[in-house]
Amino acid sequence: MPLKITILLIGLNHKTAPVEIREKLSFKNSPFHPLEKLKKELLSFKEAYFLSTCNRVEFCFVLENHQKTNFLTDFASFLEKESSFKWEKLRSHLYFLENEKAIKHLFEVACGLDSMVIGEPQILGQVKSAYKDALNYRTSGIVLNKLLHKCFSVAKKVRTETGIGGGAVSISYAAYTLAKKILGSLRDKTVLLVGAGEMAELACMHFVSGGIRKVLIANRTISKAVELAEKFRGEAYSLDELTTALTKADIVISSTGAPSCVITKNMVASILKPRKYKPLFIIDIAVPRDVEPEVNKLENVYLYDIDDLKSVVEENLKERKKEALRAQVIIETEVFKFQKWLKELDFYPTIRALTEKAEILRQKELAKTFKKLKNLSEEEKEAIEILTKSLIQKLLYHPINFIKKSYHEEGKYAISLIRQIFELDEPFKEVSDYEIESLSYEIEKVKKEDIEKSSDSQTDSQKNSNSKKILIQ
Amino acid sequence: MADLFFFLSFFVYAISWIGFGFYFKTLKREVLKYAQFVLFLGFLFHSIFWIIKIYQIFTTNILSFKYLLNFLSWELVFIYFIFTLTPIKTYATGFFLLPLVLLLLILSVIFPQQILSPFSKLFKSFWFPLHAFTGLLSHGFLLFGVITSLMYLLQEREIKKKHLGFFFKKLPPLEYLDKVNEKCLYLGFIFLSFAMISGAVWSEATFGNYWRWSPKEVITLILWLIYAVLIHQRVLIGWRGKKASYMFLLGFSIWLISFFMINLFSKGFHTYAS
Repeated sequence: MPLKITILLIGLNHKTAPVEIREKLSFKNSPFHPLEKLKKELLSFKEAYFLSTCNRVEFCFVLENHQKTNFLTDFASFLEKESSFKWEKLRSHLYFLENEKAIKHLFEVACGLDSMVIGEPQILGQVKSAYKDALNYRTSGIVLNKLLHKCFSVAKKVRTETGIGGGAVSISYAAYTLAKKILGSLRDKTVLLVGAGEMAELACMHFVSGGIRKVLIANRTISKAVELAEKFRGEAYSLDELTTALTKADIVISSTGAPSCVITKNMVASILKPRKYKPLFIIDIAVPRDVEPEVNKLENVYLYDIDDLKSVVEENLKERKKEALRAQVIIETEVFKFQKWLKELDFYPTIRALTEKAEILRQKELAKTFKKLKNLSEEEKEAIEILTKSLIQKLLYHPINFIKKSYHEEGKYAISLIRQIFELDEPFKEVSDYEIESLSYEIEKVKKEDIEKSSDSQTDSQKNSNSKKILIQ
Repeated sequence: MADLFFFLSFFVYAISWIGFGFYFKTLKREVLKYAQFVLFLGFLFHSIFWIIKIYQIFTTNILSFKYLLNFLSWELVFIYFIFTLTPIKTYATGFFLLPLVLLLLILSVIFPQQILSPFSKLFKSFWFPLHAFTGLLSHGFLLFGVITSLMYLLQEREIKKKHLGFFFKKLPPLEYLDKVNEKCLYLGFIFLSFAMISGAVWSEATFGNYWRWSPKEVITLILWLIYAVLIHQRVLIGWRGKKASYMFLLGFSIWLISFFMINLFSKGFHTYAS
């Protein structure tokens, strides 16, 4: 049974489109939110969602099947107008995903599998705020609500069950985690910046936000060191005083433009004793290198140059790629579950199952009755057939109507309620006479009590048998 | 009764070790919480066992060597919980510590009951329990320090070689391990000194001389001197990390000789015999 609705995802990302196109379609400069515009232009969609980050722009729509072709042409002209690019040009950069693929893609995006840096956590927040926008503009409905909530839970599951977010993937963060593994808590530690370059400043920011106690800056031109020291509320040194500064530091970030080594093995060896062999972590991000590689051989001194850090990062990225495969398995099963939900959502199979069940019951009861009443004429038989048919139609009118009406407000619940009441998911089982007898006995009892209460004694046998039928159904 | 609590604690420790294994693999907080809770349960059982056992030892005046091993394992768990109360968090230690705890318990079952303390008749003095308790406690801190030293060496190797592999993520920071080492060193030294002093005083009170140069006394003195040198170097020069860890391993090998070889096989004052 094909679905009545289509989930359509149209988007572009850093792999398919250059930045000129991405920024045009990001709607960052437009005064109206694209969802608001889409709604105004009366495009024929049921639900819509729009995500825009620096690496991707994605629309996701829920459409009725018959709307699809019309909608696509409308949407193409909408994008042409908004981006001032020709549709032919845009088209080659866009990806169009439907149903299963669209769901899978949304899950992958939320988990960060589709990001430039695999497993980065920001994207989940961006998806969440995109969903909030869709709620604000009232373009999300039952399908998107369920789909996006599923997105969040899948992302959480992937994050906790796989190592997709593990390991540092930027050089400065890798340096920070290393420092934590060497020095433990950074609260009582001191960072020394050798060279007041931008790189050093950036790397230092990680440590400052990590709660470092003090920042020292040593630079060839002291004025620049003083400037930076003011920014970090630290102390400034000239390069001649480097030994003094090194004695006080626990972490050294070196990034001078010097052509030869600034920190030599002898220099570090001479400060070990005054430091009482406290561990010293030296990060050399300068090219050419600032620190003699032999420094790493000294006791309790750990030297990492830019290549070492890069290989740490690459190792972590490899690890994440491995974990991404495990994440795929989780996503795969969740997509399957979601599709099952979508199918259940469709009310036609339920209605059909309901009428089929009623028909089977009717046939059986008729056969029984005809067996007993042998000398009926054809006309009479026909009359009984019509009677039973119309009885069933009238009885089923309400539940069917209930499904159709409340499908939009309650969705699956309305359907599953009906399925439960009529036991549509269980194999057909005839109710035994004994069960019916005991049920009707209870009905009689309730009735009698009612009658005693109201002392209005008018029993209608016809009515009585009718109510029996309802309950049996 | 005591046996029941012994087996209970053994099995609960084993389960807790599996829990720590899961924590080591996943690094999840909840897993750690459960593992620690189970460990604490085992510790309670073990403590009940020891309350019963100490009562028995003092009523029967018989102390078998096997119970020393058992008591050491109790101490290791005790020290673990003490360190979890300090701000230095080295939870992964549990994963490395529990095999040793279980090993000691298994050994304590294997050792025959007949290997008895030479001082069986002399328990009821003030000094003997003090001597035995402080001595065992110093051994406990030594063993704990050995475990963290091994962890330190594993972690430091990976960081120094710039090959951040399996242990890098799982093991605590070097600084923390070193701090635990330091505490173990100081406490072990203090308790060892106590044990030697109380032993000497007790010896004087019962046998009439403080020191008799028996093998046990000599080797304990060597151990004490290693401790003293290590503390001296640490405070004044700053021996720490790798060097301190290796010294701990040296101290451990000397302890092995003193605790197993001399206690069991040498002929002398401290010899346990059947």
